[in-house]
Amino acid sequence: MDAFDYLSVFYAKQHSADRIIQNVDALLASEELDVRFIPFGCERKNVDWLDGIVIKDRKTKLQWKNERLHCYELQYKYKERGQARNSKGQFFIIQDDQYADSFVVFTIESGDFYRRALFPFIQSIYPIAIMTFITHKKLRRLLDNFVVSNNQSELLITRASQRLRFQENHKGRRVMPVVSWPSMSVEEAFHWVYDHNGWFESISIEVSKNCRVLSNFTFTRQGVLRTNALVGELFDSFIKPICKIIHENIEFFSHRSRLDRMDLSTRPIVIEFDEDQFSEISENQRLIQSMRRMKTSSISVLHGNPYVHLTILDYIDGSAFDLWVLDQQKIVLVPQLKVSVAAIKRLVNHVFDDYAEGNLINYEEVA
Amino acid sequence: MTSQQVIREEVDNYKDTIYAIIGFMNLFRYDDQSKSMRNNILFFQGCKLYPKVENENAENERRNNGEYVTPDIGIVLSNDYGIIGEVKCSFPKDKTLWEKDFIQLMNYDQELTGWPTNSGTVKTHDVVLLTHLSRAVAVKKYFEENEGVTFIKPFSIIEFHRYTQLKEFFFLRLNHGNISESVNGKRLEDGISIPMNVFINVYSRYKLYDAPPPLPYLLEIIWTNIIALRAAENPKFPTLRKNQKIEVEIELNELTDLLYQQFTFYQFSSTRRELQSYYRLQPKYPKHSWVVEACKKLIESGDAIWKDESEQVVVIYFKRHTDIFDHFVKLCSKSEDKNQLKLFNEKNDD
Repeated sequence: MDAFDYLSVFYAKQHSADRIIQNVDALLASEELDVRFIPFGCERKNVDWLDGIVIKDRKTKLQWKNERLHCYELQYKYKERGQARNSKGQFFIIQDDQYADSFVVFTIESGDFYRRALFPFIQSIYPIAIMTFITHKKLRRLLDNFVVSNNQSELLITRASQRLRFQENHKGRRVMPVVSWPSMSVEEAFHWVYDHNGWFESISIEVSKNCRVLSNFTFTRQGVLRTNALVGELFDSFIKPICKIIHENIEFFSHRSRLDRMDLSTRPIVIEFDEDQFSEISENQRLIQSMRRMKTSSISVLHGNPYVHLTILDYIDGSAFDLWVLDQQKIVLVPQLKVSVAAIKRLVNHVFDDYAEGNLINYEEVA
Repeated sequence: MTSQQVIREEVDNYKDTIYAIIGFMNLFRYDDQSKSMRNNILFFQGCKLYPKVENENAENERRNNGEYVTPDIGIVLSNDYGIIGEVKCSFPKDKTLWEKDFIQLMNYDQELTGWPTNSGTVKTHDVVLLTHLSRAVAVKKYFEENEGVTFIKPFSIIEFHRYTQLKEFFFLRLNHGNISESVNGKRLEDGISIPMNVFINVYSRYKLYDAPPPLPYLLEIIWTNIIALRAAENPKFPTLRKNQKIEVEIELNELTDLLYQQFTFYQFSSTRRELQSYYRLQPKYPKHSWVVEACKKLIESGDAIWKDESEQVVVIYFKRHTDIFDHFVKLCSKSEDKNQLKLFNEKNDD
């Protein structure tokens, strides 16, 4: 007798957007499955355009739509031991109930489907869909809030992958070590990474209470969450705040093009550091080296010492920026004639990942 | 010094001249008490002023004969008073060549019409020369020792330089003479440090003034801000490989207009109604000939072709460069004739 295909049944049912997370939670309680969430932002404020999209060997097909919840099938091709294979899987997309420009893709399909098809597909629809990045500080805050809202559950890091900035080997390439920390507390791990000028690429955590393991989840800097339980709690503590972050970033990064305004004035963005980041003149060179590692872009150094003035051209969509360092605590990004939200996000993301994390604020205009 | 270093220094000087213009003009616009810019102060750059003569016909004739001056700096503080002047970041080593610069300044030392005021005049004006700190003493000495160099109107020499002290500052100080506007005149005697970060938004918009820019600098502005935007409209743009190109066709007149509207001091007029009609009568820059030279450089390097024999439309082959400015610096440094690095020696030559 064939095994009951509960996944197909689950995907076929037209869930309501308000109940879907609870339904996934209930499914995971009865079956040994993982759910993976991928939040992303989209200025189009709907995902109807996703139906029938073909990118490389991947193709989408809308299965059903129920208000702000969509179910899609994704067909894909891949190679295994030299053999071309076809496969498919399904996923949901839910639009955030508060922020119309924030969406969450999620699937309960296998890890293979996620790695081979779904995640690369979401990345390939950039710059229409923009994934986010969670700063070190925000990640810590999300974890702390999760503990508080879940009655002081205990968190134990079971695995962590982190990147350290400016650690270079003799070939001049960055070292990107992956470190596992079995049984390390969140506080210890965060201090270690902070002290070493790094950030977590992903972090796997065991949630327990009264010596009982409640869930194992993994969370990445891009805001991707995988869990086997506590779906509702983790969705509320991580995914919902990330939707807010995505919305705030889109709002903050929008309408920065000079051509958006009659007088062609600029709307610069400031990356402000808590410390005197540029107290040493050598720091200018480190920033320039870091910027030169930004892929798919031109970095022109108009001035490097004692102040920094770069012009940056994004080869994905033609967005152009001026970048200035004129004091010890700030990098100022000046969007030029036409810039996209995606390009600003990519630029800020690169500075935060490769150079240092700071706080984003508006430039205060004098002239 | 290698030819690439020479080019980069020229670009630095060009940018410093713009910072000096912005810093000096805004000195008079900035209200220290309200910490904002005064709206009643106007500035203009690269605009024509004409010698005033009593006879209107004679004045028109002089205009038609091209007798005019185009100061680097123009400030109108009221209908009664204005300031005009030149910014010279560097002076040639041969001091005999300085005479030309002072003759230019002495041409400002007369009653002039064409000011952006209702009457087209101001009752009186000062003449200023802004020069880099490293040359200021020598320039002052030259002025004092040359009896033929005299001014009737108040004349002053202002020295400027950049310095770092936790922040980057642009420093302005009176080296000789007086500024009639006493408040800022007094402050300039002691020297004024302007934090450069307060003008980042302005520096990023006003990249050109009415003197010919070093070619690699102009090419970088054209390539990054105009050609790339056009190329980005092509669906191939995001997947363009290093050895591939996108053809971008553009008329030279349009290219010149875009640079004028988007990267010069003309933009100041867009928010000031009283300046809009005034600027319509002013010469545009970059001059058409500068843009032609930039395009010729691209054609010479195989990065562009003329669309047809009229040489009015250029087809540029947009490619990916990892450092656009460096690419053009290297391109221009290969040029055998070093004079080609500057399009023209003097802005008033044509």
